[in-house]
Amino acid sequence: MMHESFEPKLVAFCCNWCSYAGADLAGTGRLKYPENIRIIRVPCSSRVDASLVLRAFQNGADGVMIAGCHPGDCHYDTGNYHTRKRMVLLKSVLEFIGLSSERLLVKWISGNEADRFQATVESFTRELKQMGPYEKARDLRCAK
Amino acid sequence: MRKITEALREVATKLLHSSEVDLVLGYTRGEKAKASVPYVATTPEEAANLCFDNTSSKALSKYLLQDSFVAKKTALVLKGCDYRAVKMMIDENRIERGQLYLIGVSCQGMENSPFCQSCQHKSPPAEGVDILLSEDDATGERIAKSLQEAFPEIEKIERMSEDERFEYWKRQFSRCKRCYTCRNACPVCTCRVCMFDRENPDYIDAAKDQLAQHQFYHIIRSFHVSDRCVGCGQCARVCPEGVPLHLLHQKLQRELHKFYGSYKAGVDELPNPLSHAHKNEPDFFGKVGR
Repeated sequence: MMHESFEPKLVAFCCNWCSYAGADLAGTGRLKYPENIRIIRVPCSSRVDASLVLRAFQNGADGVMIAGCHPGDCHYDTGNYHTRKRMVLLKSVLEFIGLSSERLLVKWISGNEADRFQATVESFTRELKQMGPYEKARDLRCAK
Repeated sequence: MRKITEALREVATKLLHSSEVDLVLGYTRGEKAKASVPYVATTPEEAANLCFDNTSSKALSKYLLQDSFVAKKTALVLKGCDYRAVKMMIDENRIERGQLYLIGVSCQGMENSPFCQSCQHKSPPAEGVDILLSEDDATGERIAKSLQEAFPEIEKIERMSEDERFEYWKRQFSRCKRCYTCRNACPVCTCRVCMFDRENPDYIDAAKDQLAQHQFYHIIRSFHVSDRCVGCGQCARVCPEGVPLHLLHQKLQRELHKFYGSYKAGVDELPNPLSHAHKNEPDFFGKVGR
């Protein structure tokens, strides 16, 4: 089912050194990407732990994207190895509990891949639109 | 189990008599005699109350972290799973091995516990404890099922559709009162300050009864103990509402074993899989992301 009028909220945790620079470059390069995205800059993608992701869903996000440096390129050498180790587990536990794990996207985007950043945001927003609003993990305290 | 009980009393009396330890932490008959309960013996006379049988399921290791036990030389009755938890605590420098006298008992599995049927470490290893008490006439050790075969409920849940899974866990979680008994009973949930006790950030608050916070609590807790779980089954045993929490933990264990090799907490040496990361591990997100 396509939700034409539905505009999903997408929270993106971008690592300071690669993905945030990539998003920056997309901006200076005047590449257009959907305004559904809310970028949160984190020092490293491994700063994002499971509770931050769940908190985003509780607070009204329809999708969460974690973007970090490509494996091997981490500013702190091993940060993104931690990310991929944790997030693959988080995805499987979300799947197991019946919270859609495809609403969590982990992607490696480097500082010069502005086009990749744009394409990712576009395709993920499109997918989220198709999936519709996400109410399964909503916290009532955050309801407006 | 009579033999173990007798040997245990003998050992405890000797230890307390010679003042080698200040107290012996074990089990005694409960008031209603249906199950044994934790017991602290401080004099040789009290040692006669100790016992061990197939209802001694409470994990004693967690008491060691309480203030009243810290400065005391403690003798401790340990089953296999409990020993694994103690080994974790020693390895992580939470308690000192020199302060402990470990009395290992060869466990035959607890009554009605699905965990004990899949347990491969019923007795602590003889080299890890100070004395190992065992039954000579061990009546047919039950054959341990492998991790993948134990808990067929997990496969049942995996076969469901996403919405069915969600409904299943919604049913389970909505019974949760967030009393934190599962956390308190868990022998490897040993942070000094638990993140759920902190007021800031207020990920969950105690007063409200709502699904998102139950989900949050259980997901994060299962995450925190995923690679430390010793499979003692305390979480499921103590839950007053019978929420099958162990399924979550076992599922995460399976995933960890599948992805990062079969690390067993309290059997293998540290580091545990989630405490380190390196480049040779598989990258599940790859070029395209997932």
